[in-house]
Amino acid sequence: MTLFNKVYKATRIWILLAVALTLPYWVPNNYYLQIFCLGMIFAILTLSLNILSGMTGLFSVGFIAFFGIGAYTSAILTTKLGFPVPLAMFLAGVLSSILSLTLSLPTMRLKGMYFAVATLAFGEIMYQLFLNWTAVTEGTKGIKGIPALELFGTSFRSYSKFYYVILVILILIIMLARNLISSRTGRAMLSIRENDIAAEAVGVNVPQYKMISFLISTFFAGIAGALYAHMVRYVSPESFVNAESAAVLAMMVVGGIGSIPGAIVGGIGLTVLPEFMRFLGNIRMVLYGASIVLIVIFAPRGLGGLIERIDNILSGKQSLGVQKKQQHIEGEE
Amino acid sequence: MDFFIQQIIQGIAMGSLYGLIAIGYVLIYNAWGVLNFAQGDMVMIGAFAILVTHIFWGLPIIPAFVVAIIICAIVGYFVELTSFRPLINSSNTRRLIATIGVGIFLRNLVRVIFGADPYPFPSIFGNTPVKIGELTIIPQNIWNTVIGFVLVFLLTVFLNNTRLGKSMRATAQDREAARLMGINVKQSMSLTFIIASVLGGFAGMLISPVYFVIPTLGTSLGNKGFSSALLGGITSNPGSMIGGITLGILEATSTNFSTSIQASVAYIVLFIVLIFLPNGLLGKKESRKV
Repeated sequence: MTLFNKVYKATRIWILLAVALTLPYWVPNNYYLQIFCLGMIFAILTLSLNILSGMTGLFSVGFIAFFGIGAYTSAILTTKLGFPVPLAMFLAGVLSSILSLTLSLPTMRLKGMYFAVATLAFGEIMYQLFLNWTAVTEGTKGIKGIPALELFGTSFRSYSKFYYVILVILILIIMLARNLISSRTGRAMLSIRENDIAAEAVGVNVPQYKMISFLISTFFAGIAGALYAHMVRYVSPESFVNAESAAVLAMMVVGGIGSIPGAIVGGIGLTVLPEFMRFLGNIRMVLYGASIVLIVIFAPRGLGGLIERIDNILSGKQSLGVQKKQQHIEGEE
Repeated sequence: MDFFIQQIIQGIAMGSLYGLIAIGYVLIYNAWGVLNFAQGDMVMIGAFAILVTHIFWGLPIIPAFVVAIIICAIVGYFVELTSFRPLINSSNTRRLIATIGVGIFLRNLVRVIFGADPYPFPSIFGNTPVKIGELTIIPQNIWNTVIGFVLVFLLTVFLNNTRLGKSMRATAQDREAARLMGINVKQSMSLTFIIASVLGGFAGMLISPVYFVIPTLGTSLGNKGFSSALLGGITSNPGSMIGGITLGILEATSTNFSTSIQASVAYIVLFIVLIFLPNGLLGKKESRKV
């Protein structure tokens, strides 16, 4: 282990934090900052999906529904009922969590594909609800004029200020996910992912932990939705179509299932990437589809695996030339 | 009452197309163990293939169908070769994501080539309604139903009575055992995939006079197809036809209550079926071991 490795290992977290804290000052213009903020919101969403799908193995293809529930809840509470924004954002998470029970309770017995399809149906039903319940959601018109967040007399209207709000919540969920993985609850969830029958046999209360996983992940999905609503300040059903669920899923897999840095890079990367490819015109979405397939084929552990490898090389755990044969753990079925 | 019967006939006609799409899901699920999210986009490819051969190239309808089917088979084989075969031993999650990627790829490739504008497609079977007693039936509806059922019948005969069909079923049942029995597993898996793609594409060709031909055609049809597949039980071919027709009838008759509900019917039914009949109407119970 060289000196460089030691310095890297001791400072990496602080460098990362410093970059994150100063980011709004060196991003060239407001537009890029907006895209980046959006990417971070999707990183939060991807991390919460990771708790449900990556850790517990409950594969959700309709996850955008909870993002939508959060966004609509916060939008409706603030514009129609005059709730203060921070309270509305919190309630958005709570309501998203509560509504997740309508999905998790009936689907408790379902596994694998069947569960995935139930979530897809749920996502589609929620979308139709946003679209057709005009009395509350304004239908296709969407809800305009959502107020910006105001806290302790400061308005977080500009992206450079709102960025920090997103950053705080992102760091919160990173810490939560990290602690969760090494806790008893987290290990129980992992065992359900690996094999639910075996987990049950060793005394894990499978329904209970599935429910906990649902509640936590949808709470943060709801918060992410509320962040989105107060950043864009306009919500319409089109932001919550099922194709968006597939996009979030892609973020998780491209980042590497179960990997925290992967989820962040996947969330930000796949939001920012299409924007940077705008000069390519329509062909960018073709490349986007192709790159998802390529990453799945050639990088089984996603970008998270790549980051881990670079991190290991820089901190001297692994030499550059010889690649250690890594056992890779992934859910079967 | 007549109106109601007419709705049911309409439902059966749409439902048999849903059934065709559903069978594609079932075939691939049984052989590959993955829900192919790009199956809906194969429906779209089929619609565009018939648009190109019949309208752009001006082929008469029968040769146009034949060429369009060949196009679907080629696209299906290409998808299998590039995105399914390399992942044959990977986890289901990764394969599922790959199919989502393939779907995005196909959808947007078609958008780049043909643009996002909808293309109208003329009716294949004529527009003069047939009168049977008090009922007026559009020929398209009759033909969709007939062709749908004929195809399912042919598929069943093929799977049960030919050597190739039997080897396909054996591969779906147990890949390793089939290999040991001297079956060319790779070939029969490819064949399964191609047949599934062609069936999906064929549904797209039949549907093109009903809907406009657009790149996003496959999204909702794909979802309805696999709702039908699960409704019928994802392991059963005739089941998916029954699932498709059930869904078609439910959709057509639900307009009596509210038009805005029609779009959600498929999903509400799906949700309820999954809760009470996790194995679908005709699916077998799968037992699992640790």
